[in-house]
Amino acid sequence: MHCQTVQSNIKLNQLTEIHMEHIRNCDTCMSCWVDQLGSVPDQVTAFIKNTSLDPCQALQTRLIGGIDDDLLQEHADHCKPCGELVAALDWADNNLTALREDIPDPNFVATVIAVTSGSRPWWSTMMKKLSQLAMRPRFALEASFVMSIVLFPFVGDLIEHRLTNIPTDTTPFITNQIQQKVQQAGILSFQWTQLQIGHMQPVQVESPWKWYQSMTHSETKGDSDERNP
Amino acid sequence: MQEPQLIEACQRNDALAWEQLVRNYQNRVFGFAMTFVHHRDDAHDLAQEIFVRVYKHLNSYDGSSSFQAWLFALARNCCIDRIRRNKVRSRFMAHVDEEAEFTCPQPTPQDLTETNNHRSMLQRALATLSEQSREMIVLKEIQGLKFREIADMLGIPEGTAKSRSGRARLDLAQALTRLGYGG
Repeated sequence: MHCQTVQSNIKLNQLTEIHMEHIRNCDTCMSCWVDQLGSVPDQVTAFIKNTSLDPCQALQTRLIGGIDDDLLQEHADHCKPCGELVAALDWADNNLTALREDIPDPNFVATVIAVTSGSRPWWSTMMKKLSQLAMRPRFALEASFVMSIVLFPFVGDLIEHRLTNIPTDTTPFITNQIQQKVQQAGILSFQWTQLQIGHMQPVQVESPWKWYQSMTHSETKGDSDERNP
Repeated sequence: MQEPQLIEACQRNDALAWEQLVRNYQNRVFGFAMTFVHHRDDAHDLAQEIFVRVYKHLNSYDGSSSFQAWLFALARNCCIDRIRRNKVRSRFMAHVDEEAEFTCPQPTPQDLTETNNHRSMLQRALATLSEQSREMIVLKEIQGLKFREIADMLGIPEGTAKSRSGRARLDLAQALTRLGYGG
């Protein structure tokens, strides 16, 4: 049977057993019928009274619709299977909330926290590890050491390379000026990292470059002299 | 702390707020998991998996629906994934009882109280229902979600959700009658 026919019959309140059979097996028509039940309960009651449906079938159908009235109860009182069904439904309604919550093991929350702390997004995990690493005094020294290496030879070379188009006599002056600024920034960053380490004694160095030289036993002395006149 | 503030704090990676959220919902999520797998150990794993998924996707919660509905939509997906995985696994593992997932849990010493007996009876009845009916009972009758929320979650019209719920109630009543419930 076509849904459109059934639904128009639902609206006209002209349902037969065939229509009801279709409704029971069709979600769309059932929802249409349920909506109709909710909006015009009096008409539905009249329908149930006049229908030629088996009373037990009618009761079950109306249980689906969630309609509760005296007519239904009257039948349930006199029909054992339907009475049991209605009683079972009442019992379920009273007890289903017991399933809403259950108490897990006491260490459940701790387990979830432990698992979720390990499942943070990669950037969050990386930031956490970096922040832990940065708290170590050695990291500050190593970071400033790396910064010195990067700032002086690499950036210095880059700057010099970029300034090749400038007249030869002005190039060393500009390069020196820039390198001095970079050197000052390096010293500041070195001192800052020292200040972050409260329990360490500040190390007095003239420049990170010289400190780097002392650390590497002047292996690159010639090169450094060229860069730091 | 109110729930919206708690969720906002969780979205800012506040560890304490997250712990509080887990504490607030642990019983409900665990209860939800129990209605799907019935075994406490499995339910623990499943509930844990649900919380991990919530944690990972918490930033996608925009507050347009209730947090509870969002949480249970996620939990439902998690449960379905779990059941599918178990079904696939059982195909390759002959020694695994295929019906173990939905068989009725045997009464344990814990089932001595009346409440636990009722709980056990209801779980046994739920285990006999179709997946669709069980889902409707769990979402509507047990977790108390609104029809609108269930309809959104399942991607069906609200009227269909109502009719499915009614049919599921009837199925449950019939299952309880068959099992000789304690009423």
